[in-house]
Amino acid sequence: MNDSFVKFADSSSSGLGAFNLNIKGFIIQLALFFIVLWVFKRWVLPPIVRTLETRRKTLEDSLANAQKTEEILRQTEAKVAEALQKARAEADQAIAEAQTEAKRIIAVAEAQGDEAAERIRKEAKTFLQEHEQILRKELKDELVALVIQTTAKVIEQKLTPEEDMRLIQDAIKVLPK
Amino acid sequence: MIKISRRELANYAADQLLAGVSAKKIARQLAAVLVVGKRQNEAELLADDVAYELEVRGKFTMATVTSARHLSPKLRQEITEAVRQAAAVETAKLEEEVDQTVLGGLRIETAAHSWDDTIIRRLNDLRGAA
Repeated sequence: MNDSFVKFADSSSSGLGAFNLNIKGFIIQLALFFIVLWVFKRWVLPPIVRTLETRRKTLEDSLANAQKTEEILRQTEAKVAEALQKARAEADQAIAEAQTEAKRIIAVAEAQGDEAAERIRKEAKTFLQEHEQILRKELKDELVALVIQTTAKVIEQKLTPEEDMRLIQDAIKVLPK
Repeated sequence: MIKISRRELANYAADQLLAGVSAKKIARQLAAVLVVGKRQNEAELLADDVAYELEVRGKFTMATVTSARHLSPKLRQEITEAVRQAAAVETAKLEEEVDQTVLGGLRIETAAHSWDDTIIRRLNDLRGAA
């Protein structure tokens, strides 16, 4: 075998032989290369391409989804901000209305309280006046009764039979004739 | 049954008494009417009505005299005469009552009249005026 290589080398020392190139081996290598290339292209490359394509699509979809999600998030944040602003405005309005209503209620209650106080004061004054009059009358009646009782006692002790007879005779005189 | 009023009965009794019918007989008749009519509780009122009728007809009066002390016979006589004239009747009789609460003076009550000149009445008038 070494001889063959030597002969080949010798015969090709001019032309391609100058490059120490084994044409036969080269052709075989080339054929093998194309065969491998064909096999690669026929059975290996398509699944790889498909896989890569699938991954690419998946990535694109993911990116698109991410962008979509980001957009939705941005819109949601905008809506939330708008809703918060609206709620804040409504709350401010409600607080203002509540304060106004509270002031009105307080004013009404104060007015009613003043009226009630005035009415109670008048009723108390009337009651006191009436009570005072009743007490005055009772006092007067008691005083009169006391005076009459005392007078009766004095008359009972001081009136003599002669004076009583004179009173009776006076009574007889005023009888109608 | 017809119900006879007390006033009618009193008129009848006064008429009968003035006609000379005995008081006992009239009393029996009136009692019978009251018993039949189940009006026994009106007996006292009927007696008062009869006395009233006799007094307004100028015949007789029974006066109740109230004083703080007993009356002397002379004073009783004077009062009887005064009552007879005041009531304008032919005959007057006194029924004396002693009541020390009148203090003094005299109160005369007949069937148709009343005169009160007692001290207690004057004091009560004073109380009413005050």
